Amino acid sequence: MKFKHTTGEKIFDVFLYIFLGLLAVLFIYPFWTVIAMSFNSATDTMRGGIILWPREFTLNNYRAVFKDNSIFQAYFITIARTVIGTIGHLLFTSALAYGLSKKHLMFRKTYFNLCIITMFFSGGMIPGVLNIFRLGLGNSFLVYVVPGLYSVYDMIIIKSFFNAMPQSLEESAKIDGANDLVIFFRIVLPNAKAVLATIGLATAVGQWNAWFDAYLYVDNPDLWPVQLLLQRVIASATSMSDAVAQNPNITAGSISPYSVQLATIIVAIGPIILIYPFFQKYFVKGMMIGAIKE
Amino acid sequence: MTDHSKSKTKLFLKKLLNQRWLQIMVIPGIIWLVIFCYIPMYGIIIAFQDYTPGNPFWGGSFVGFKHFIAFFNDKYAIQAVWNTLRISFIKLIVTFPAPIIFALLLNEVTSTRFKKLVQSVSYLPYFISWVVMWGLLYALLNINGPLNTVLEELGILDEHIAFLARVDAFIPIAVLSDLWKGVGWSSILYLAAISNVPQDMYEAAYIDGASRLQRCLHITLPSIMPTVTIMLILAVSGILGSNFDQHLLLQNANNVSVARTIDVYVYNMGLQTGRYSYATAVNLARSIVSFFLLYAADRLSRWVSHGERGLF
Amino acid sequence: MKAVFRKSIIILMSSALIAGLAACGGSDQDQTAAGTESADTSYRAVQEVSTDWDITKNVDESFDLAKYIADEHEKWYLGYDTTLSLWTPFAWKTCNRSFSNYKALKTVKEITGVDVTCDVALSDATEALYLMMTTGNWPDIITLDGATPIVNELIQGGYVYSLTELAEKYDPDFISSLPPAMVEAGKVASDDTVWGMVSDIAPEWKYENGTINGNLGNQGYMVRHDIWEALGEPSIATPEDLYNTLKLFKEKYPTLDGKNSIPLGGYGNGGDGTLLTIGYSFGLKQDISINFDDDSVTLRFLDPNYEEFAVYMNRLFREGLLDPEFFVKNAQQSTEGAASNVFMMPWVYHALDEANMILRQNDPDSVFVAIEPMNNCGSSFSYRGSSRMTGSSIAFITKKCSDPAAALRLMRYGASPAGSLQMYKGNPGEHYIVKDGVFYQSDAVYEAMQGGSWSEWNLDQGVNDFYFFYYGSVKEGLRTYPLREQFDIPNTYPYSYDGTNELFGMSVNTTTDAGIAFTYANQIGWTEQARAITASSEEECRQIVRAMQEEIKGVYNFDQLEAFWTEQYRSNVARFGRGEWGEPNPAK
Repeated sequence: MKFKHTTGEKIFDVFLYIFLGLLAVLFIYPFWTVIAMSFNSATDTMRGGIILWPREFTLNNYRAVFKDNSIFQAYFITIARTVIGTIGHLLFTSALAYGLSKKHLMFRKTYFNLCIITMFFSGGMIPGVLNIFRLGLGNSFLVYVVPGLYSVYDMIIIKSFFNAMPQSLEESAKIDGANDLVIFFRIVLPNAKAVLATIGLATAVGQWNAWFDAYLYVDNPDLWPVQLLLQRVIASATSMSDAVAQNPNITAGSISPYSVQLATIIVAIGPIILIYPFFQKYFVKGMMIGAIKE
Repeated sequence: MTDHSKSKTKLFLKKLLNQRWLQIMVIPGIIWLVIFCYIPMYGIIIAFQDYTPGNPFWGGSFVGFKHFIAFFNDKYAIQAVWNTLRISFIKLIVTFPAPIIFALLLNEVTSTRFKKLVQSVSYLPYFISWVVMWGLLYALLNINGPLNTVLEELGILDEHIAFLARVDAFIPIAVLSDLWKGVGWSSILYLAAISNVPQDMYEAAYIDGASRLQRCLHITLPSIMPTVTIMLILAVSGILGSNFDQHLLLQNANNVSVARTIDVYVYNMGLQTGRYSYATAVNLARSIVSFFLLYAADRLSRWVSHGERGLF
Repeated sequence: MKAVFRKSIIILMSSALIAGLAACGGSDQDQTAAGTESADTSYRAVQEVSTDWDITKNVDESFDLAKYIADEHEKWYLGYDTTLSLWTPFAWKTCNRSFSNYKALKTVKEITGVDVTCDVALSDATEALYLMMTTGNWPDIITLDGATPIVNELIQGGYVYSLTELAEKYDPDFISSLPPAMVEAGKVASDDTVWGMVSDIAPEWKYENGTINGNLGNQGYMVRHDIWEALGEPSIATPEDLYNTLKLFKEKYPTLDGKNSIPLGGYGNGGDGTLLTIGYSFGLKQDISINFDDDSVTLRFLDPNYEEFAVYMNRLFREGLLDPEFFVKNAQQSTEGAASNVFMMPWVYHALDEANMILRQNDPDSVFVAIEPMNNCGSSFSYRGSSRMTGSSIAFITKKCSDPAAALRLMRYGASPAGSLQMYKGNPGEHYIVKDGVFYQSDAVYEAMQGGSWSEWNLDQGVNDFYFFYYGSVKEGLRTYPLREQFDIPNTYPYSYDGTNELFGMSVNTTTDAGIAFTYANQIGWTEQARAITASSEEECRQIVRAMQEEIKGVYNFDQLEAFWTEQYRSNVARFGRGEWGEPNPAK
């Protein structure tokens, strides 16, 4: 059905388009300059003033990034942790949410309180880190996945979505003799695509960008994700002054220049940004719940 | 054992058997919580000890409330608490409604292509780390930067201002840069919620002669209200976990009296110097404050929605 | 079909979870790497091989590297190939990968059999080491700035081996093979044990005619050479001169490179920054203040000259002579300023290499050079920055080291005259030449440095990076830094002195009462210092400084901090000698 707009609404439309257009420019800007600077000669970037286009175009920054072969291994780890971590997180967290969304679940109150308490109190960083090592998760791929299997925040969001879902389909399936697991996989999950896509995207981005866990727990360079390599490049530049002040024999030029850092950033976050449109289609079309009629 | 209690046990087991699949879905999560949340929580005990790095887990000597007393006797720590509360509340007021408004505005766009474009670029700043964002902010706001030039050309400023060195400019810069970075990303959840509003409701309202504004206020907004409530409660509970990277980078000796926040202060005074017990104590104090905030938010949300929408 | 697929996914995930939990339930695992006991059987001591190679005397471009490597291999080879991990807080790009990726460092591996993977710290050194202590995750070798407070904790906590002890076990000649100065400097715990390898100690050839030629005086007053000349090369013997010079500059050059000019640049975001250099001219020191009447030590902010320093800086700030964004900028941003609109930068000279490179693209004469620092507060001597003569970095072998024998071999090789040059300066003939006992960088290195493509060039060369065991046995010719040679930039050397006795062991352990007092007092100092310098009047500035000094004196346990420093300083004086104040302290 097509809605007709009044004159006032048409004027509003004009302002809306201008406003959103300006916002779009503002959103693109930081990304755009980073790309421009990553294609600019490293020494020239230091003079500042690169706003839209590279002044001295070069591919050397990217060459410097890819000179390091370990980046491909790191990509493999990053992709693996993103895929496994996201699927695991969605599956386990939504299973918990589904169970807790059922009023007749025994011990529901206890379970739920156990979840909620963790939102208020946490051991903080130090006990958390010690715990992971005590569990023997140090230096293993599992450390990227297992501690992230559940999130109480996400569980509550998914649960509220489940609560809002019409019960009729589930009930009819139950009458047909399906058990809870089957209902969960056949009916509940397919109808929760919107919320799963949203949470999944956030989880995937979180997994893709994570480096601190690798930094803390993993010594083995074969298990390092791309973001840790990125952090190394950035850290080496930010502590430049210390290094330089300590040793009269190093040249400032031996420290990775700003432009190379930016090229590394583009290399590290590029893929996840390209994936985004595929997630997007799940929640822009408004196709799900409206289809289930009471 | 009486017959009565026997049958009660039997009933209990039968009920449990009936919902075995449901229990199997829940129990791994509870085990996980115990291992990854409750055991570390017990580790808070080090806040009451003199724990130094290298000691075994929970292996310090007990010192009672020493670290808490140190915290309350530290004028910069108290300042940090107030600063954190102030920055977080202002951020909450500004950055919480912004993505909702942004999502509602996007929803009004009829051209799918334009909508998709704006939406796709809106999340881009989210991916730029604060280190780089800080570089960009510096480039924009420095004393010779484009903002100063523009304001001078427009006749608003007589002489250039070092925005980043001014105490009064810190909060606006922190809030606006947060908004810039996060508004598109946070709007994703609301857009998802809006996409779930049944289309026929709009059609019915249109036939009844509701204007666009009315449709927006009376259909879209109420439909996403549950999401808004949950997000608000989550935002309030996370209020003290303010943006560490941002504050660390934006903080300098000029604006530190406003910019010093708990996280950064604990990092400087606790972790960087190896005082783990102290850091844990401050973290606990912070948890307690955020507990009361969350409780208040929940009460408020119940009161506003007449007991329908609370978290618990 | 779909259901089967879904079911198998959940079964897979559940079993993964259960397996994970089961693994977690297991007992604490020992984090140490698998022992290398079996490898020990093939361990080879250093062989005494007589060869014709004496690369400390003469090396030319036609050097036969392959033959050299084969012969050196005979002498130094460990008996088996192994890889060690080395952690460093010094962030050099080229250290990020293992030795075999670099032309120069690969040779080290071929000669000794020891490959090294470098792990550069992502955070502050102290923070990272505390985490290592907490988690028990140690690399094989750690390298640190010798002044890091945590050095003592590493030794006392039993986290690192004593080299003396290891040498007895694996290589009895180890200690005697090291240069005596290195042995002496490695005794960092005030006992007779060598704990670590200290790099870059000033060797004998650097002391000429009682003065020190090199290693000292990184901090200096750097000015734009072209502008300074145009201003008539004004002298800055007193703070008043400096003020007048900056004022003169501001009048003549209100703008520079299209921007408002900055007479005195620098950075003060997060720490001493460049304030330290100016502080030296007021008799201030890094962290501490010494009362020479009774050798008592207190915090820098309580120095009798501190108030004058703050008032002076405040005056520069109020009159627009100090960069208004001084406390905003970090090192990188202030270097950017140096490449465009800054006249003077009090800082380490080599930090301006990049800025110089950019400036010179427009005008070859436009370059930062060091000028003579001003005299101290109107007196006749110029008080200068100090350096430790006991070297820059210190390397330890950790108790979790997978192969201490290999680590020891690497260190011994790295400290030998030929090994030092190999690790730090590169392949003989290819990266350097030696003429009559004097070292020069080769043309390739020289050109890469001059051409501005150094970092790219060095990505697979690995030259000038790995200096952790370096001892300069061979005299260095001045060709190393062409710009500095041309404009006399290294001449900050004469303006500095040996401050070993006021720096050695003075870093206070931050987890002790004295350390906590130091952290708090410093926090107060840094916060109030910025307020004082940016105050709107001299009166206000003085008030802030006095209030700050009162507050610092009242910090809990502050007396313990003073006691710790005073005791350490007095024992340093006893050990290293007094030296004339402001004058170089001749070699021990």
